[in-house]
Amino acid sequence: MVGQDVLVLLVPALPLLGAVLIGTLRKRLSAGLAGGLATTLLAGAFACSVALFLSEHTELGGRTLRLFDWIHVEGMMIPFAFRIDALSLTMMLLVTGVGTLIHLYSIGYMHADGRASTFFAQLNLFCFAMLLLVMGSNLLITFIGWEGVGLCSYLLIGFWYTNPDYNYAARKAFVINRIGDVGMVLAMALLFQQFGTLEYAAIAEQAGSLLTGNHLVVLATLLLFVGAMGKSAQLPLFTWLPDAMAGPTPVSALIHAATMVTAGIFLVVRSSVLFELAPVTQDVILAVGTATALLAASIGLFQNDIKKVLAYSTVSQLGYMFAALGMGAYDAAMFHVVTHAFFKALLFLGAGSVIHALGGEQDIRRMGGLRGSIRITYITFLIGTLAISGLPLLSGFFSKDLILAHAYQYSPVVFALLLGGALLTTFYMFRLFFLVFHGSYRGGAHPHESPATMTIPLIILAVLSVVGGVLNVPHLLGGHEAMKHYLSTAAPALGASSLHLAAAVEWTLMGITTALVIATVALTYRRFAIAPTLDGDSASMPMPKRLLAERWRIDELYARAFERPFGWLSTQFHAVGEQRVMIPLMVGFGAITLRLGGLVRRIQTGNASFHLLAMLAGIIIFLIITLLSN
Amino acid sequence: MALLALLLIPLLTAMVLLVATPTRYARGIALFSSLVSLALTLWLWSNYQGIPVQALDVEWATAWGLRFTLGYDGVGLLMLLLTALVYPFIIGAGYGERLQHPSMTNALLLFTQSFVMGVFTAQNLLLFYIFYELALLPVFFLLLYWGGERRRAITVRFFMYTLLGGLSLLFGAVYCLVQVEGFNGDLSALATLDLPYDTQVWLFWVLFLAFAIKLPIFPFHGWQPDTYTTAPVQGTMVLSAVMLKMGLYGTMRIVFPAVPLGVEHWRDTVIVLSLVGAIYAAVIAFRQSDLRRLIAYSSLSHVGVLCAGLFTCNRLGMTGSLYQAFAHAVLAIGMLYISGALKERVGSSEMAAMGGLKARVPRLAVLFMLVLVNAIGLPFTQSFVGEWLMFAGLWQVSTWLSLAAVSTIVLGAIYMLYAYQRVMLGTDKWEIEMSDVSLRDHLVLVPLVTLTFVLGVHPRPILDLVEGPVQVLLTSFPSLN
Amino acid sequence: MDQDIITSIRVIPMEHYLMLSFLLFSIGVAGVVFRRNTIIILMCLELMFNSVNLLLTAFSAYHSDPRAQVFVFFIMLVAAAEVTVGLAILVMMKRNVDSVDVNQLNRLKW
Repeated sequence: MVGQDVLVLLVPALPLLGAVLIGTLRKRLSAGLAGGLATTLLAGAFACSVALFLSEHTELGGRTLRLFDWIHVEGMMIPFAFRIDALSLTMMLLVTGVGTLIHLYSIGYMHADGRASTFFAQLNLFCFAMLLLVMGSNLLITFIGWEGVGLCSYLLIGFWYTNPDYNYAARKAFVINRIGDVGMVLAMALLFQQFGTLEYAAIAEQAGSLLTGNHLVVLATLLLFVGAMGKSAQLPLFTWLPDAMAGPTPVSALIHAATMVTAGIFLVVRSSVLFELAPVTQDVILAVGTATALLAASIGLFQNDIKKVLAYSTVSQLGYMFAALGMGAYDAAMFHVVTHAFFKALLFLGAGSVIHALGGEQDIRRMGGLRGSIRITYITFLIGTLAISGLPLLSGFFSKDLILAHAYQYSPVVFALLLGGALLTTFYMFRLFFLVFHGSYRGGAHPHESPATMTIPLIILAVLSVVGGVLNVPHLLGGHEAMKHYLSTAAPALGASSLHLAAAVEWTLMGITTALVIATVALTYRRFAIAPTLDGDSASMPMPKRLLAERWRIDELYARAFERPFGWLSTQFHAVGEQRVMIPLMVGFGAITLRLGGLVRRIQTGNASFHLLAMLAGIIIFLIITLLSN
Repeated sequence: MALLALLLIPLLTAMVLLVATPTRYARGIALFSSLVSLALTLWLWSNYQGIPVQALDVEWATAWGLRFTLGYDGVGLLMLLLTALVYPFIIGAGYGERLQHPSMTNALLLFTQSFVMGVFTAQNLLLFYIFYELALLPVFFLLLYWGGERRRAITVRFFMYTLLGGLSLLFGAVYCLVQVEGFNGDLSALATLDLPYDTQVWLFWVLFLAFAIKLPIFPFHGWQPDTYTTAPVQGTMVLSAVMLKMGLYGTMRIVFPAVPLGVEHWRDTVIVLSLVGAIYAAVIAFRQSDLRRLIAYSSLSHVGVLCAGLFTCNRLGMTGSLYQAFAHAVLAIGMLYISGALKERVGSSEMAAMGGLKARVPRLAVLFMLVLVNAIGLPFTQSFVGEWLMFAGLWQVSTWLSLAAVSTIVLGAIYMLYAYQRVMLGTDKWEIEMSDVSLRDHLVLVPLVTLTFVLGVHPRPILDLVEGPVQVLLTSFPSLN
Repeated sequence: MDQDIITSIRVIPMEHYLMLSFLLFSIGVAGVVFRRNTIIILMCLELMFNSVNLLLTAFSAYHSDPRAQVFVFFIMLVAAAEVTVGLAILVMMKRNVDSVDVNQLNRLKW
């Protein structure tokens, strides 16, 4: 094996080693040691990824590193293999890089928790699964990671297991993800039957000969998208993500903002060849993405839990990415995945720092005026807020603007909807920001700045959030769309999208967007920074606002439509199906046997003479029969 | 000769235990015997060349079509392997328990092992039937004497029901022997029976009924939940880990070659029944309050998918089904062991009485989780390999059927995680002292979990084993493939 | 076989042996079925054995086939064993229920 291959292996192996090591020794490791070990190992994986990034010749389209035959049946051959190309390398860098920062942050955040080493073991296991997901050379390997991250997500959401609500949230996340997985499994079965392989490269090769709109490909892509819906929290399977905030904040940052939830986008990009052949699916993705972006943003407007706001923001941003995918702008979606990972991780970690500073308080109505006491958090959070709002020259500006430009080219209606979503984002993010950091403090705790292990990741992520845009500077601003060109080597579809807008139009779009964003910021400043208006109980609100504050009552709807009927069905099946039908049937069978026996047993008098007589009679009867029949 | 030894080792050990009743050493002797069987089976496996082996052929009552013929092919060997593998765990599971008459219990367990191995090695239809029914007897006594509440009624019900199935099988076997000229009861000759289509259509149910009840598939499962709940843990282990596979094996070995046209005729019906049962049981499992009963319904649900996979009659489905049979045995032992370990600590298997145990028995919680991921078929566990193959096989039969089958992964997650939450999670409300995993718990659960993951990552050995027999079976259904 | 015995057996016609044997067997059957005393029943069983033995011997002589006589010895052996067991049961019965009435043993029903 060449040195290069060892590096590839080390990337997932190091976090796996960490998970196993820390998991087995968790009783003997202190929180700091476990955290340090986990962080170091993941940093090692990051270093390997960087080395690979620098040395791999991805411009040739990448390569496959085959380790062993996993499932090998006559007619089905699924190798355990990694695909190393621009796409997987980008994701590997992202997962290990942001992951390392969040691990580092967790050392400070979890230092007082008695089960910190378990936490780090699970966090490392998550990174391993996520790396399998992005590195797999076929759908089934991706699926290992896909389910693995789901399990880790379940474990980490329910990390504080004594709280039944958290446990419920964890189960909800896993089950809804599994509903998506049904689509994924079926898609794999279909693709396997169609192509006889699940290798991305082989499928891409064979798909070349298929016609656009081939109905099997449409079905396969729709099923894959169902899987993506579950994992990436799109309508109608998004309700788990806000609840998933029950987990420790670093988990929300790593799993439910930066990496796992983008797996759906990754999957679509990975199979872009197929999606390009299915315009129907692309339309569905665009519609679902846009609807999710708007719906989640509207819910975010009036939430009072700092993490819930960020969660709905994540759902909304994922909607943007899917909208981009629906328009065929894969590069824009990937670019947004990267920048979003930077600023959303930053925002979550910042929120964690605030929560840490206030001793567990999450309600923004009991915050305010924190800019003085937690200076670093304040500045970095501001940068994150500016970046997500798309203020010029910050990373979010480049990626979001790219999506908006594609939307304008696709259809002005989509552009208007997504722009509306962007303004809603600006509104709720600045509402959050001003309510937390401006005005006067409304709570009773004594805010204190977090330790260095927590602030250093904040600072690094803030820097990345600022400069992340340079990865893909558009031609208009004198750049070369470096990331697009890099990614286009992995799949032709990644480089195929192009903007044909005149420079003037682009400048105008940028101008309009920026002006509207700044106006929204000014609006929120007036309403929430100078004299904050706080929302009371949602029951006292006027109707449209109340509906938004109560999240369109979608959770209640699902509970009524699915959860309760399911419980009812379970009870009924048991009470009627089993108790009234199945068991009586079987008992009835026994009863008939008993009844028959009751009749026949009367012959058994127990009188030996009688039995002998009967025997004699029997013999004689048989004799007579034999004689007569001859 | 090794095969005969495989049958005789547990049989003779059981007899020694019965006669000598060495109460203190009974478990040790039984465990030793099961380990010897395991070693012997592994030796057979390592010498297996991929071609069916005919080990022993003695005349017995040849006039009635009964010969004492032993042998095995890949599937038989797989079944032998899983039987030999799980028995040390089943016997080990009883260690430390203060049961009355340990020599009697262990003797009965070893009797079942001997007879089940007989089922998996018999190469003669009547011999198969004899072992098939014999295996029932020791279980009957296990249930009757060491069962829980209402054990008499439930045991008798179970016994009668399975006996009815056996009777049906006997009738079918005799019919074949009488009706077909020159058929000597040899299993390998079953494929050459060539019965007329109409006969095959009804004979299918006559033969399959026994296995449908043994598995059991919907709607023949009436005996299963109560029996699994009431039986002693070791008895349930035998029933679900080993005896259930007799149903699967019998279907494959007898029904498929004997009445291929009947199988084709009824294929869709059986798949639909199995999947209806799989979903039905999974839905029921959600609201069960007793952990053992939940495991029973979960087993029922798994078996539904298993049977559907087998009846796809294509390579992927059948291979997956056989692989899953192995996975299910490991899983069943693990789950049942954990339910037993919990009952030992809490004193009941009612989940309402548990909750918050993770704080008290954190290691057991981790092991439970590791067994559970196999139950819900997460990748890199054994179950995933089997389930994926079955789903892929079912897809080739019908889109909707595979949708139904795949939906069980959602239902499985729903009831399993809910059960885990009710047992392990929540606030610690316990005032009694509770010990975390003991050495025995480790010795049973750690190898099982390891096996789950090793065979999940490296399923090749098992897949290779069944490849040949599946190939042979495929030739029975030329029109389906 | 000794020729004298054969000739002396053949002096009496076959029908007589058959009749005698039939009578003996019938007496035995009637005794077993209608008597209640277990000792009598056992004796009647012996009677049936002997009627069969008689018949076997007669047939053997008339057909000049010694094989049937092997069976006679075989039956005697079995009968002896049977009586042993039967008397043992009888003793146990007497001890347990203090009676030799066979109808006392009617518990094994239902």
